[in-house]
Amino acid sequence: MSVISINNVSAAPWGKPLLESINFGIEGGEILGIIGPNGAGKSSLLHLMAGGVNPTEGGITLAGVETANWKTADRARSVAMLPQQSTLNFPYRVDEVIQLGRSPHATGAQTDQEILQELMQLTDTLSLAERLYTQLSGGERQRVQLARVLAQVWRKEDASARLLLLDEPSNGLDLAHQKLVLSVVKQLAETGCAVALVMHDFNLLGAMADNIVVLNEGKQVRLGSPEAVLSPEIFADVFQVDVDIFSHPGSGTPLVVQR
Amino acid sequence: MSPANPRNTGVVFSALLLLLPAAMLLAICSGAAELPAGEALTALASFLFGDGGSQASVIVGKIRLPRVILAAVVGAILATAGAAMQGLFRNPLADPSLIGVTAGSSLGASIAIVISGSVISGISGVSLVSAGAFVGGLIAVIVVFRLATSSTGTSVPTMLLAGIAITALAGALTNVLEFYSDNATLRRITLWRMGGLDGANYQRVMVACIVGIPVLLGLPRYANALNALLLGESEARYLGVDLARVKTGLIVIVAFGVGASVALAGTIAFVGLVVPHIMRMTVGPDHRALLPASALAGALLLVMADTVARTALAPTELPVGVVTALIGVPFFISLLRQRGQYGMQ
Repeated sequence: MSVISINNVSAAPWGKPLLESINFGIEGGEILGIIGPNGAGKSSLLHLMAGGVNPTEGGITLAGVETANWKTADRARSVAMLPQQSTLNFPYRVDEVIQLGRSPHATGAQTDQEILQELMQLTDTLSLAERLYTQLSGGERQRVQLARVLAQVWRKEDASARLLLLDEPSNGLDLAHQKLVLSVVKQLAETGCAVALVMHDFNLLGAMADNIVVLNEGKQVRLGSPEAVLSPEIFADVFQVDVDIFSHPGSGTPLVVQR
Repeated sequence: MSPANPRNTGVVFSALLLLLPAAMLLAICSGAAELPAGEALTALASFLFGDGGSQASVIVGKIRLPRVILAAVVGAILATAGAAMQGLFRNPLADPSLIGVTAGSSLGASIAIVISGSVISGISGVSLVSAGAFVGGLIAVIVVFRLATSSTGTSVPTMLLAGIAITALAGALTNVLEFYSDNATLRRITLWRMGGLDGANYQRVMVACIVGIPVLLGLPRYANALNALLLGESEARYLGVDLARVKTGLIVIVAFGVGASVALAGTIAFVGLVVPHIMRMTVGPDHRALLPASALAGALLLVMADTVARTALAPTELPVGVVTALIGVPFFISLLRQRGQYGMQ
């Protein structure tokens, strides 16, 4: 059974139709990449899956249950979302921000603390733990926010449905930290969590996604494996750019190079 | 190197828990008849448990004690409500008056003063002014809340703008009333607006406690929701916060608390803005610590300010709102100058 399944959904937040006839599901452990030009509806699609935008047509089921029947508090134990931009102007400490990711759960201080320590280690934020969020650089803030949403779905012995939604998670990160956080996301997916992520770096996405969905003007244009979806035709049609696609000499994953 | 930012929560709470009773005792000792601490305590014990017949015990028990308790409860309500509003609006400059409650209360009180000046006076006049202030504050908040609420929910930025608009409207109407008032009525309105605890008696203390206890116990129940709200509204929703319920709950509690405190003690500016700010610099922005710390510090500030107001120019009394500003502003400015160190922007 899919963790989330989107059946013929249209949505019009603020009265303007933004998404039309979207159809796909994400299995537990699957990583789904979402690509498309600016304004294609990628972020709206993530908010739709997170429950911040309601469908005007069609239905969404989370763990087999219509999302309309999920309570906000229950959903927060299963679904975590990293928005594109976060504005936090209050002087929380880094460990306090990440701790907020555990707030939907009643797992007890000790478990929360273990998860916190593990994630700070994995996202390289341990050395920032006692610093104030407001005094961090953009890339450091991004790692902290990532650690916060990871903490929300970081359960290992629990088999219940989990979904992590990431809007441009590698934004502002240097190469080493891009690699680091994406490997943490992969590690989470291996424990059975479904992941959907919006990214503009097609090479990183091609290397980590199991499937990619392409959006253009609110419509779903293509869905398939990275090898099948990342083609010169799609880039010409959707992004209006000419690209060459190579195969990575080591891993065999697609490499997109703009002409 | 990366500076550690220890949260001195334990130290701050211990200090507040020591200072508040000390300030209350000092307030009971001070006044036209100076009493040494021991004598004041004996008089208090005699009032509470004995016959309470001595002159000292009447002064302490009937005049000073209700006033000190009223100051503590009103200060605690204003500061806690301010902390909650700053969290809801995600703005450290927010204060409880933002949602229109203070201006609405002033208008309600002014109407009551104008009516009571011509119709009734004395004790019933005072209660009429309090009732007018309370009802005026609630009506203003209801209007602001309605203006900001549509089918998509309650918009906090719209609430801010509606609050400013309703505050301006209520202020204009109050000005019209003042313009057409005679000199005696005008003076009563002006004095009322400056705030004061000189009308304190046990009836008022009882009203303050009936409203204050639910407010002071109710707001901390929203601490986790407020913590999540600091990240942003959609982030809070995705952390499981029921936004509609939290916004409505917070506004209702703040409106009742601030409406009642304005009704009982007039408008006392500054406590709701500055106390939470100072507390955030010491215990951090976590509302589980911030709300109770603000309650204690707000009580402390208002008890101290009222003591100064009563004694500084005795036998004349200064308006307590003037004193809260005179005590609070220099302290606040000195903290603002070090704000970078506290991570405020």
